[in-house]
Amino acid sequence: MKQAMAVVNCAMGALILTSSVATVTILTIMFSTKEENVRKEGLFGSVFFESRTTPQDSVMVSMGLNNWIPLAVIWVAAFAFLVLVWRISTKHMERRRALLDAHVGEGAH
Amino acid sequence: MRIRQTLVVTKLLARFFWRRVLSVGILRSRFARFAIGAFALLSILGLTAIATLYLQDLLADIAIVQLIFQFASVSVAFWTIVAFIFVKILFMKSHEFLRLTFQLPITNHERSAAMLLYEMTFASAVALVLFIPVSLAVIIQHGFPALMLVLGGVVFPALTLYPFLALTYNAIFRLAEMLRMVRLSQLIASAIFAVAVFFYNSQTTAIISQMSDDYLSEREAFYPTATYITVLDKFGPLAMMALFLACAAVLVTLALWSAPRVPPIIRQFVKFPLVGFARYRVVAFVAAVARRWELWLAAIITSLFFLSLVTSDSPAQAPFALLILLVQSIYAYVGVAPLRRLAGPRTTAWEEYLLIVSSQLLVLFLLALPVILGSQIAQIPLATIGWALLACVSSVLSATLIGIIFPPEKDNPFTVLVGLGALFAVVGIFSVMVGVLRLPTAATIAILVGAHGMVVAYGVTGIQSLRRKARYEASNGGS
Repeated sequence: MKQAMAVVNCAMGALILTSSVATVTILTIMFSTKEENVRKEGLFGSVFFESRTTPQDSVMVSMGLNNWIPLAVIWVAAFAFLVLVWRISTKHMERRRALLDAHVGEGAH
Repeated sequence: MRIRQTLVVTKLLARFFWRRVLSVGILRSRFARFAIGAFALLSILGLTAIATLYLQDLLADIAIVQLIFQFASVSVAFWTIVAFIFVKILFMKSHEFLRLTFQLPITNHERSAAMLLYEMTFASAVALVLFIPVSLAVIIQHGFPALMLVLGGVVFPALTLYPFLALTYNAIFRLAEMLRMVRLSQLIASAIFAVAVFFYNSQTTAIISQMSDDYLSEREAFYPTATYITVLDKFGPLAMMALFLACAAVLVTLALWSAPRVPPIIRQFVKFPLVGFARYRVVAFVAAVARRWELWLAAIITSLFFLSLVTSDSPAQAPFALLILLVQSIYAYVGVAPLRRLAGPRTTAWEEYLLIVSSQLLVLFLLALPVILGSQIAQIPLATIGWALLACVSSVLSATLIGIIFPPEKDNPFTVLVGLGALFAVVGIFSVMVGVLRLPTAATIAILVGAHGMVVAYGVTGIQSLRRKARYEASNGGS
């Protein structure tokens, strides 16, 4: 149960990381675009930002998801990284506890 | 009144809050504290960076910057009033820690003054944090003149308005005391302030369009909220500083002097009859939720808010006034503590969670009935009412989770603030992502359902881990 929860937490964390990277990318493209009538893609083509001039002389902007495969790859990478961090940290804590227990055991004798 | 005693009590309160907040729930772990601090710092830096990049062209002209800070002063006034009401309602339950000071050799006048000072620091901090990113961006671009504009448009209005509001509050309190209505005084004062904030909000658009009209036609006009900016424009920074110091000194002295002399009569609960139904566990939980006095205060403010929205130009949003009730859900978990203890370990965490949530939903729907009826009379589409109710269910779930992650023991208002801050940060980031990524509707619905599933799952695991900690089966984290 505890392990399953930790894996779910890692999955959620990876999801949040992926979507924040995507959002930040869109915002960066948006704020660095000066010209009109362009379409720019970012994050290996997964998100896009588009601005064009309408016949009424106003600027229409649109943005969103272009291709979800790179995002999925990023999610898998983030998930693997988080699971690894979690495994290493639990192993480390276990070892620390074992060492402490051994030390206390020696002291008692 | 002895100022030194007041300061000592203020310090005592600050230290008490600090220790209570950092010793319960998730904040106990050093890592969690570090993560929250880092997140706050990063988001402020990120927002500043975005503001600096985005506003670079817009803010090139200092005259426009001045206009922007005139606008800002209007909304600063609004947010200060909101922060004042919010802090007052939270601190109404502060008698648990005021009890600490009962054995100290101070008068009640000094005690309330200490409380007022404490609240004032608190509320101005909240109001200032909201305006940090834009202010920093402007200061980076324009330097000293912009710093003066930030002070005159944001900092000084907030710091002047707060003691003024406190003075008004004390005056209402004293009046109620004279009319022998001490028990109702908090209710009356909150209702008056709620009406004031709605009135001010309905005027904001008119004030701002007046300001931009005057700017475009190069008319000179005087706006009460922009007093400091006008003085800065006409007489320079020194005059503005002097005016602020004078105003602040007079208002703070008056506010401290008018602090109530009699100890407040604490009203925690209302009578809630349980005739014959007490053997159903859910009824006991409903009663535990419904007997809280603040719930009824929140219900009154909700109805006022609803009425003011229904009678305004855009009544369609009126049912969303129900969301004000969400603050109560934060106390749901700690509020049923005696019932939880009574039930003992026989109930599983799932049962407990279901009882807590379902009792709140029952109370919520009972309180929502007048609003639903009113919306029907105002011919608001049924779908809107449905969305508002769904939003309420969602907010009950998330606020209950917040109450489990950051348990506000002894009704500690500081923990509630931290929890609400976390909730709004997460919901805000979430909605920006959904807005920017423009996911298909099906995906959005799937994400929403999934997110609520996670909220429920985290709530239940939270209850489980709190139980383990209470039995010392798990470490308390941190040190």
